[in-house]
Amino acid sequence: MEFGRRVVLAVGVLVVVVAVSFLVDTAVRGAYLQNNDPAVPLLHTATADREDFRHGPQSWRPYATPIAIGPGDLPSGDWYLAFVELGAVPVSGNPVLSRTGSVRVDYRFTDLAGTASFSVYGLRAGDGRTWTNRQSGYGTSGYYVSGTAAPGEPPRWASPLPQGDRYTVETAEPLRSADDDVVRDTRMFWFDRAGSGLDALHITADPAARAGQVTETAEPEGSFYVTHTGGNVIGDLFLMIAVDRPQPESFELRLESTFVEDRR
Amino acid sequence: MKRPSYFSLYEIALLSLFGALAFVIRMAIKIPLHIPGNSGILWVLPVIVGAALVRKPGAGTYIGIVSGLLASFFGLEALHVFDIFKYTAMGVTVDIVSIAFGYRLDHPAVGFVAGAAGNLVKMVVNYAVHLLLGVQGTFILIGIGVSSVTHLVFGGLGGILAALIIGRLYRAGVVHQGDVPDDG
Repeated sequence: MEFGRRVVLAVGVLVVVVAVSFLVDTAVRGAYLQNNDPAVPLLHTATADREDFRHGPQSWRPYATPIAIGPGDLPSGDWYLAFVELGAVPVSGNPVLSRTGSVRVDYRFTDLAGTASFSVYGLRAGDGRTWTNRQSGYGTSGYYVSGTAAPGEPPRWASPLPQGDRYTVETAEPLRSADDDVVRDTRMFWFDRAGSGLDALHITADPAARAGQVTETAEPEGSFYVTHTGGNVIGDLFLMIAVDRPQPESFELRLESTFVEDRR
Repeated sequence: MKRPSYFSLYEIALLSLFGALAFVIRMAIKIPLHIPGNSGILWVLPVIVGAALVRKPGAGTYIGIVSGLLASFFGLEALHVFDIFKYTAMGVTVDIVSIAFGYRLDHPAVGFVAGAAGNLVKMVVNYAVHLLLGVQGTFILIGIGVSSVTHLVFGGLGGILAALIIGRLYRAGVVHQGDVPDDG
């Protein structure tokens, strides 16, 4: 076969490969949209695995000054951090003027090694100024789950966050690219000053106790609420999951978050 | 009587260096385009140039295996252990294209085909590894259509660059077509 024809044939084969890729893409997209029930528009689901722990090992979590992750006031231990967008935000304020409510988070761990700590980060609509739940002193809230699975290998892809008052964190994505060239989505958390931004967001096991409390459990499945008692509007809400051991390959965390309107 | 090896010592050294170069390019140069397959514009270069200089079936595969072994041992991503499949598949593809076109890798059209095919095959193997490891298909397969186009374009561009480099090397007399010393 002459040279020109061979080139045309080869380009044709490449075009066929691309066409097949588009067919697969269309088929999978159709199946995905069918499986996500549009009848429950407020339900947001997310899955995190060991690859989503992109930051650490470190003893603290982001705030204007480093604050502890585990129960207690002082940063300690080697934790790996993952950030998941919850897709719903709590709303505070006058219930006559707005539809106030909290975010219910249902979690289910598979093969959790060590302790997992949940914290929340809310970004103000507009400028992204960030709030988090209080870690120590009056008004402390948090949620800790302990597991019994054997730890895995330390994640080589994780690196500690640099300290400061601005943090660029990598977020877990529901649809992940298999290609190394596509880096993960990042979000910027920034904090105004130390002592500020700790009393607007809370984690509570009982939505009636809006200021929250510290809960420690060994149940791999359960739920808690993220409440908001501040005066600003939260644009995006992130859940930080920290684990104090490297997780095994079989580790998985499934999250479902829903906006729950306050009873009037 | 000692049987002569398929590749001479000179060729093995050359191919190993190109393999190492492919790995170093992949690790050291990150183009912040956030487009799938964009690195293909660079890392197909050593594979195609190496295959063009040695002009023996298996040269691309050798480069792929060397770079794949390095990536599997020293990579950073979660699934880097399986990188050897990606790199080797790319090398095999470049070999097949080289043989099909009689090693005319200095021609930009052949360079385009070799680079695009290599990068596309790398993409397919990457998806296959993820799926075989149990990653849910919907997590990664949505967007594979656009991803295949970008892999084709970036790999093709890298292949054209490789063809231009090879052509310049031939014309400058640094290497000659079919005249690589094999006195290992």
